[in-house]
Amino acid sequence: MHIDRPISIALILFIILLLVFFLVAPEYATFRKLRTQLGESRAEFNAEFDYYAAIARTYYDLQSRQDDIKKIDDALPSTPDLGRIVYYLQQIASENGLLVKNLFLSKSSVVNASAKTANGVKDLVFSMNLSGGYPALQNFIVSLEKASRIFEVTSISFGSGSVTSSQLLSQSQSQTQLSTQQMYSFNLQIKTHAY
Amino acid sequence: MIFYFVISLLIATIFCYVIFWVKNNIQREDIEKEAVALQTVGTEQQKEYEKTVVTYQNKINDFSNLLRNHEFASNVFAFMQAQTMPDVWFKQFSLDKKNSSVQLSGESNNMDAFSRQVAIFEKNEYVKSITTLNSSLGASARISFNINLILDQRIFDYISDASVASEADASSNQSPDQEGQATAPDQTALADQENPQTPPENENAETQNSPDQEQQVATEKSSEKLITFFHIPLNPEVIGIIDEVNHAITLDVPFGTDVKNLTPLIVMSPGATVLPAPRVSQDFEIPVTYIVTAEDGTIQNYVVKVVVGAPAEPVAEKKSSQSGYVILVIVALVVIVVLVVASLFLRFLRKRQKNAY
Repeated sequence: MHIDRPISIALILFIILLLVFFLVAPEYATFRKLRTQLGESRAEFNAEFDYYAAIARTYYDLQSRQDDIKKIDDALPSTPDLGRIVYYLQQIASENGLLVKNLFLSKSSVVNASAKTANGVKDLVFSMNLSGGYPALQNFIVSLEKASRIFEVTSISFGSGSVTSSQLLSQSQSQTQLSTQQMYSFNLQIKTHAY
Repeated sequence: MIFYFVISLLIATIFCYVIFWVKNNIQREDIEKEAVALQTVGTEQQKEYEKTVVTYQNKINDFSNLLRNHEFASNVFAFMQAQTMPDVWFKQFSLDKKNSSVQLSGESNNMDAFSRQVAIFEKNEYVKSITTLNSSLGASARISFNINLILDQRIFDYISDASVASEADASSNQSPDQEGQATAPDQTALADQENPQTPPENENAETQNSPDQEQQVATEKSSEKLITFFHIPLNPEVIGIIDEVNHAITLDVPFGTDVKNLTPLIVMSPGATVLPAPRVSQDFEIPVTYIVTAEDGTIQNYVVKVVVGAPAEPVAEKKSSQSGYVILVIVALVVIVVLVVASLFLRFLRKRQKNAY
């Protein structure tokens, strides 16, 4: 059987063309796509692995710093602990010689969603009416500022009512003009936080 | 010769196809293995750790912000005590920390004392302005007054007693006629005794003043200020490559990521703080500098650079491969035509030679 070589060559080339176009090229495209996909999968695995490794390291680091964590938890407790706050305020006031006449929660973002801050910190604002001397108030505020829980006095107002000239004259110059032994009525707003 | 070459080409083409087919199957298996391996990362325990860590990270950041912005109302009392003249008495005091305003009502012996008191307030660096000023002669021949002071916000920041006292002394020394009047010695002593600006940690005044303890506190403070982990929670996660030598962080994000609004998560050395804060979105079109402050106050800058990857392959690849196919087809057709023409020409020559013989 005689084979017409030029025509065979042309035919084979045509077949090669078809093979390249319909088989080799798509398979090569798939190969490249899969290679990219495999690279991404490996990168994702490595990233996840590194991320959780870092998380584990940080977790154990946190565990080893329980004292510091406790300080933060005390300063910014997860629950409002209103009972403890009221008890603490009353205790500090009495320790410093002040009488708590009124104490009420005037604003709480724990229950009031609109008052929530952008982060996870919730504000609790207490209004207090205290009675006592000026030095006692000073000590009371300093005690609050030293407390392990974060307290912030946002407003203070007090007055001695009408001061008679005899009262004024009786004040020694060795005393500061605010620190008399006179009884004042103090109105305070105290802000604390929960998380 | 050409015939065998073409046959070889055909075999090579088939071989290529087989090679790619086998490779693709191997890659598919590898991808499946990676997917299975990925499922083993992020176990329940690891997720629990992650939850705890993220919660505490947020809490520590919020706590740091609260501490940074914490204000001491007691500073105002020390200030008032130091700045009040001996012959001036206050009857009413009202502090609104939000507006940094203090409303005072009181009495003074005479107008001269009142005017000197106002001048002392005006000259003080912690008084921004006096918005209300009323005075009248009372029934007891004393001057009754109302003053509204707008204080500088800095007064609520923690400052030592000495700075307020010295500042008060300085203001009293500015005016010779006020010398010895602006701050009574006993007042200063009282302010020192009360110590309203004592830091919250130190309750004992004696131990607070001990140099040994101060040194000990200083040595306890860490100077470590490293960013140990910097990542952006995209899908997939983008983790920064930290160059601790040059203090630079590079992140490669996929093409199309909005770099103007990326929210990084940062893990730092214990006790260190960072600005801008983590979990706050930043514009990474240009490199962003993160300032890490160690416990001891020393700082380290990290330059964070986000590199956007090349456009996703499919579109470009498809276009280039399509145009490649077209060229390939054209070239092949040209080769076929040339070969056919050449073979026909050879035939024609052979016939001609036969006819010549």
